[in-house]
Amino acid sequence: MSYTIDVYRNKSKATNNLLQFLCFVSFFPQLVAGPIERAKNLLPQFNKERSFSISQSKDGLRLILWGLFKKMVVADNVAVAVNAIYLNPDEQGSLSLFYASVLFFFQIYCDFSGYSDIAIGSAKLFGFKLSKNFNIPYLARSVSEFWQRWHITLTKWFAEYVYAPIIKKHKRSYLVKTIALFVTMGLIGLWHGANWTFLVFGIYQAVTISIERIPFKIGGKKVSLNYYLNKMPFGFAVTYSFILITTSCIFFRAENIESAFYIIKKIGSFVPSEHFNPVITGRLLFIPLLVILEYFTRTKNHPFEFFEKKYSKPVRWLIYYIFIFFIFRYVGPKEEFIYFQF
Amino acid sequence: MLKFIKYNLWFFIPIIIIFILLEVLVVNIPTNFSIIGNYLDKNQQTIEVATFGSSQVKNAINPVYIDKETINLASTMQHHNTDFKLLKQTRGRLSNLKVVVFEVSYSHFEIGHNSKYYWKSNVFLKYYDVNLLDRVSFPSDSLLFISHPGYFSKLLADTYIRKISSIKNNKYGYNENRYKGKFKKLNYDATAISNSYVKINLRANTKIFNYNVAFFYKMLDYCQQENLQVIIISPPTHYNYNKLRNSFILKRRDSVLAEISEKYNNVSFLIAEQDPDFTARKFWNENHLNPDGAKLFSKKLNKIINQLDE
Repeated sequence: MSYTIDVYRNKSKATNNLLQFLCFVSFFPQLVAGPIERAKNLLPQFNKERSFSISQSKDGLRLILWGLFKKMVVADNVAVAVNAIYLNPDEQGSLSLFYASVLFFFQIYCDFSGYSDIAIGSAKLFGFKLSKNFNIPYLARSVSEFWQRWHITLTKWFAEYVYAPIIKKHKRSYLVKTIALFVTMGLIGLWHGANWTFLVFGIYQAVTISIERIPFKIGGKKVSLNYYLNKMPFGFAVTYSFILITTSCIFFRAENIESAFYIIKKIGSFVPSEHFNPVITGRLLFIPLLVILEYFTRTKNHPFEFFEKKYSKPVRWLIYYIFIFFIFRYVGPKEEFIYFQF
Repeated sequence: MLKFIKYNLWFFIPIIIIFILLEVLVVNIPTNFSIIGNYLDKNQQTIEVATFGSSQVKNAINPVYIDKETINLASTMQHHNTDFKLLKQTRGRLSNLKVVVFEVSYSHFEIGHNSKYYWKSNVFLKYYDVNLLDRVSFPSDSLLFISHPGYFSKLLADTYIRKISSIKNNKYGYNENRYKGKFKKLNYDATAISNSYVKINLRANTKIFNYNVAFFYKMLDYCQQENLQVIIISPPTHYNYNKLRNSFILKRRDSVLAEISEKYNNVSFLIAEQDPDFTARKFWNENHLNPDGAKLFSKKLNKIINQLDE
């Protein structure tokens, strides 16, 4: 779609090579669930002569390993706990439901970013470079920043083809920008499926982002909540955005709107969780491992890239073997990639 | 490129060797699946009764106590879609099959069918030659260790490292030593049992229910076409479990069973959920019998099977 629009707008040149075009539209690593690659980024790569690069191929394999770890070890094991709690919300207390909602955030993050890593890694093995799709979204200081870190290619796509055309002539108007935001986020929600829960998920994001953007004057200076969130202590701002995002995930996970509101209401009503067990299986401890690794290697594209420069080959191989062992030994029950349904 | 391939070979060869070793070790452990698979191979011509269902049925039926040659193909978390594939794909081999036993326990219709990623598809393909995959199978589809590394790692550790095994499978693959459950830990004490947490499904799911019921009717139609007698069972459950059941779920399950009894003349029932003969000492936990309970329940089932001939 973006190719057609770009050619229509004269932003890209139409390709005359049918084979290259067919390769572009059927490029398997990103075909099913992204990253959503723009024609102007991917198509030229089919024109270019590619040569084998050992460093790129190694990095591709490392990314695939990291993606498999996130999907098979973290997401699929977390899914067991989330499914068990969400199966019977009536029986659960507030803490259990809140806990499951937090876990669901990590499930969907590891599920989808794991897929993206595998896709980007596979493309690298063929000499292609795909766009980064996730940038440790749980470290966002605000909901606005979250969307610059979560499914980045989708956000950019909607920003360019929906948001930007609406605000084109009113770039300074808060009202027009807010309307554009609601339309864009509503459509992003609906992109996930024709269900009211996804629409509410999108609208919820629009409401929080528009609140964060409300301009006001303090001491003659025009600021917004975003300005203060960026000035706040890191832990406080991250907790703020994480709670808001986790709440929105309830709409994403719940079977229907009634169920989502019921869960939110129940979390807020502090019903005791009689049989709450924070670590249902020891396998949930892979979440802290993931967070620690990602946090301390956040300047790199993925943790294994950090190890490449830091450790000698035997140590690196040992680390890879440990992760392969985790995948074989602690793989969760097979679950289809969540984003395959969208 | 050659350097890259060489490094990859060096890196992956140890993994492949370890993987092959694990697979060989797992295959050599006699599990209830391998025992049932052997039994199926050896008794294809004589088996008259086949039972299907989840762990409730797996633990409730010990074929030793059934007069007719019986195979228990039930296993943990197994649902009707798997039961049906097992039945259809073994039907050709079981030329003397006359009776099939299906489970419709309390919330069986409210729980979703097994997914296409059900790990036992590898196990069933290897030992029963039954393909659950809805596609052509490949040799890798019958690899055991990779199908459930957690389960098989524990099995390997128990068998070869800890050298402990509390399992005593008989020739039908029934574990006659399966007593050490929640109830035994509580010394079958009524107060302790009534104070303990019960895991029970209380959530009615109409979409799943409608799908499951329609699917179950297809299973019954198939049995009618194949001239098979059907016994629908619900194994006993403890009072502590029964009192928590969702009456709506129970009511609509019973209404389906009533409709089945009117519509099919080849269907009998053994709904033993509240059977008073099953005291706490017959249970492993609230909804699973121990071998003593299985003995009693299997004898009751045997009586019904024998009555079918009369």
